[in-house]
Amino acid sequence: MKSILLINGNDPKALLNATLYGADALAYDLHESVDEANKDAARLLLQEALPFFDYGGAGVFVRINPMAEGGADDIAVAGKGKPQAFILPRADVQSLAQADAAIAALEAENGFAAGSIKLLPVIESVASVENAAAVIAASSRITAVIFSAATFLQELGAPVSADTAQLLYARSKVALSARAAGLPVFDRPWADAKDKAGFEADARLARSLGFTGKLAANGGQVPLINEIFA
Amino acid sequence: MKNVIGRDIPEYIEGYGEVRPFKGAYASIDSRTRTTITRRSVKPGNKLEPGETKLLASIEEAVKKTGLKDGMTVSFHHHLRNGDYVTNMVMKVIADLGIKDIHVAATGIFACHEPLVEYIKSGVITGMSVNYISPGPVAKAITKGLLPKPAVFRSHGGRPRAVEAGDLHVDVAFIAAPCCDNYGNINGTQGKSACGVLSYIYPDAQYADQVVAVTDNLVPYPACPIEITQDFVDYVVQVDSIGDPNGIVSGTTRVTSDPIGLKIAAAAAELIDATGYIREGMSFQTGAGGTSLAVAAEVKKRMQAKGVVGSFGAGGITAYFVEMLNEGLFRALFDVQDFDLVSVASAGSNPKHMAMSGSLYGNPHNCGPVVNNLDIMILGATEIDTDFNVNVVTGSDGTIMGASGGHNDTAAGSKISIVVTNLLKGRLCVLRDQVTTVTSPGETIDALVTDRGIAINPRRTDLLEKLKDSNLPIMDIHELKAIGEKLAGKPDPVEYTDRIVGVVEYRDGTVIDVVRQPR
Repeated sequence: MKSILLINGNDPKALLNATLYGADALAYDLHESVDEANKDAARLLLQEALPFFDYGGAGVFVRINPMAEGGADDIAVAGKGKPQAFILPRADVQSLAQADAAIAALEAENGFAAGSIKLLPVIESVASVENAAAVIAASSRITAVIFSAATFLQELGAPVSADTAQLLYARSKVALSARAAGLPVFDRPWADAKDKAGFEADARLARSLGFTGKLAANGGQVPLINEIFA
Repeated sequence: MKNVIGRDIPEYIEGYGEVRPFKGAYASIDSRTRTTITRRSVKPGNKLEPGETKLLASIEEAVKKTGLKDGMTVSFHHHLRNGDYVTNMVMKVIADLGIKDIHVAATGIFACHEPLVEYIKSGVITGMSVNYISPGPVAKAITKGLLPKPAVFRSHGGRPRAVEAGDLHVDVAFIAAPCCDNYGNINGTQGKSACGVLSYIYPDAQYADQVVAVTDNLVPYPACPIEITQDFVDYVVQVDSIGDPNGIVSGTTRVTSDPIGLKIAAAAAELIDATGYIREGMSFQTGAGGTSLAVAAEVKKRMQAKGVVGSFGAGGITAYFVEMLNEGLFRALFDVQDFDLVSVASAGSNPKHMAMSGSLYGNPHNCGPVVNNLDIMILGATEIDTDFNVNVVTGSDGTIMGASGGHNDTAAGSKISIVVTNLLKGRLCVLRDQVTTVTSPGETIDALVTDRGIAINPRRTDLLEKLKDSNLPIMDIHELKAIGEKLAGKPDPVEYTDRIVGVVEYRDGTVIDVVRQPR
C-alpha cells in the first residue's frame, strides 16, 4: 500500500468517484472536510455508502475526529458500514486506548469479528512525535502509521513555511519508529493541488526518509505517489 | 414510420414537409445535382447611378436594398460565438421594419442571442435551423414549443449540403466581417473583432441570393488577405462593433486538470495506440473541451515517443493544435473555426494553417470531404445507447442543449471514432437502452471510453482482435451500462407530447430523429 486518498465523507459525488483514481486505499474523512453542523449527516451517509460500493481491492478507511471531538460517535455510527480501519487524528496513547475500546464495542454490537477493524494513528502532536514508539505500541489494532505536520508546527510555535528542513526531525522520528515496529508509514498530505512541483519534491523527500507511502489530498496526486513509492 | 434505426418518425411534419427517412450512414452516397441561384451583377464604379454603391449607411438600408420580406430566410454564422452582435442587430432591424415569418438559418446559436426569443414570441421568427446551439434561452424556447415550425438541426457538413442542394435556400446572408473593404472582400483574422476563419459561411456566400457584409473594421481596398471575395458580396455595412471580444474567443483553451478527465484521456490514447492509429501520416481531430484536449496531449506524447509526423489536425482549432503544428507533429491544419487567440493569430499568418469550408469539412455529397481523410476522431456525448447511437441534441429530460456540429460528419468519415465521457453525468448514467435523440448512428461510432471501462462496437471486429491481449478495461457495452446503473439507478422515462419541436437531419438530409416537446 502506497497511496491513501482522502475523500470528503459528506460529498456523494466524491464518494461515487472515489475508486477511479487508482489509490491503494480510500480514507473517507469525517474530520477536517466536514463542518460541525454536518457531522451527523456524514456519519449516516458513510454508514450506508461504505457497504454499497465495489472497491476493487482498495482499502477502505474512515478518518474520524479526535476522540475528544466526536471520534467515538464516528466509530459507533459510520463504523456500522464496516470500514477496514479508522484513522485517528492527534493520536496519543490515551486516545488510542479509547478508540480501541470504541471499536471493540462496535465489533461486538454488530457481529464483526473481534479485532477485525484496524487503527492508523496520525502522529502530529509534539508529544506524540517525541513518544512515537509508545504511541505506535498503544493498540494491537495498529497496522500502519501516518505523520501530519500542521499540528506539530503549531504546537512547536514554528511558522508554516515551504522549508522542509523544519520537519526533518519529526518525519525521521516517526518514520524510524514505525519501521522499527515493522509497520508501514505514510507521510502528510500536500494540500496545494496546483503546486505539483512542490508536491513531487515533498513526496520524494518522504521516500528518502523511509516513508512507505503518502496521503493524497486529491485524486490527481495518486499516480505520482504510486510511482514514487513503488 | 420507423427509420432504419427504429426511431418513430412521421412521413410528413407540419412546418418541415415530407420526411426522407434515415436509411443508413452511407446509403445516400451517390451523384447529386446542385441548385442554381440568381445573383445580382454590379456595374463599374464610374457607371454607378447615385445610391448604387455597395457601401451602405446602415443595416436598415441593407435590409431594404435586399428587398427582404415576410417569409424569407436569412442566414448568420457563429464564428463570433457568444460575443456575436450581428444576428441580434439584423433581427432587430427586421422586427422594427415589421417583417414577419422569417426563417433564421444560423450556423450556431449562443446565449448571447437571447433577444431572438422575443422575436419568436412576436412572430418575426417562425422557423430556425442550426448546426450548433448552446444550452440557453433560445434552446429553451424551442423546447417549449414557442417556435411555430420545428427547428431543424443539421451537422456542419449537412448544412452546406442543404445549401448547395437547395434544401436550405438562403434569401439574404449576413456575414459578420472582422475585416472588410468597401467592395466586399473579407477576412476574419484582422481587426478588433478578429475571430479566425469564417468557414461555415462560405456556402452561404456562394449560394444565397444576396450577401451583406457587416463590419466594424472597414479597410482600404483591397482587404488583404481575402477570405471571402468581393464577387460574392452585394453590400457592405459599417457598424461600431460586430461583437464582444470577451465572448468571441477564449484567452486560452486548456487541457483539463480533472484527474478523472485525465484518466479517460490516457485510456483513449492507449486505445488509439493499441489499435495502430499512432502512425506516420496519421490525422486527428478532437473537440475543444478539456478532456478532448487531454486526449490530444496524451496522443502528442505517443507521437513524440514514436517519432511520428502526422498528416493533419482538423476541425475547430485550439492553441494546442497550433502548438502541435508548430512543433512539427502535423504537416497542416484544416480549420473551420478558432477557439482562442493563439489559433486566430495562426490562422492569419501560417500558410500551413488552412481554412476549410463547411462543405469541404463534412458535406457527404461532394467529391470527398476532409472527414473522409480523418483517421482518429474524439467525440463527446450527452447519452449513448447500447447500439452505440449517440445523442448530443437533448438532455435526458428532453431539453434541447446542443446540435450535431461536426459530430455525425466526423464519426462517419473517420477511421476510428471514439466517444470519451464520464460514465456518470449529473448522477445519471450516460449509457441508455435508447438515447433520447439520435444524432450520430451507432454504425459510425467505434468505441466508448469512460472512467469506468471501455466498450468497443461489436461491428469493429478488427479493433476487438487488435485489443484482445490489451490490459485496457474493455467490456461489453451492456456490462458497462450495468456498472453505471448500479451506481446511479435507472431514471424514469420522460413523457412527451405529440408536438414535434425539432427535426434532426442526418448529414445527408434524411431525418434520423425528431425532438418532441416534453410534458
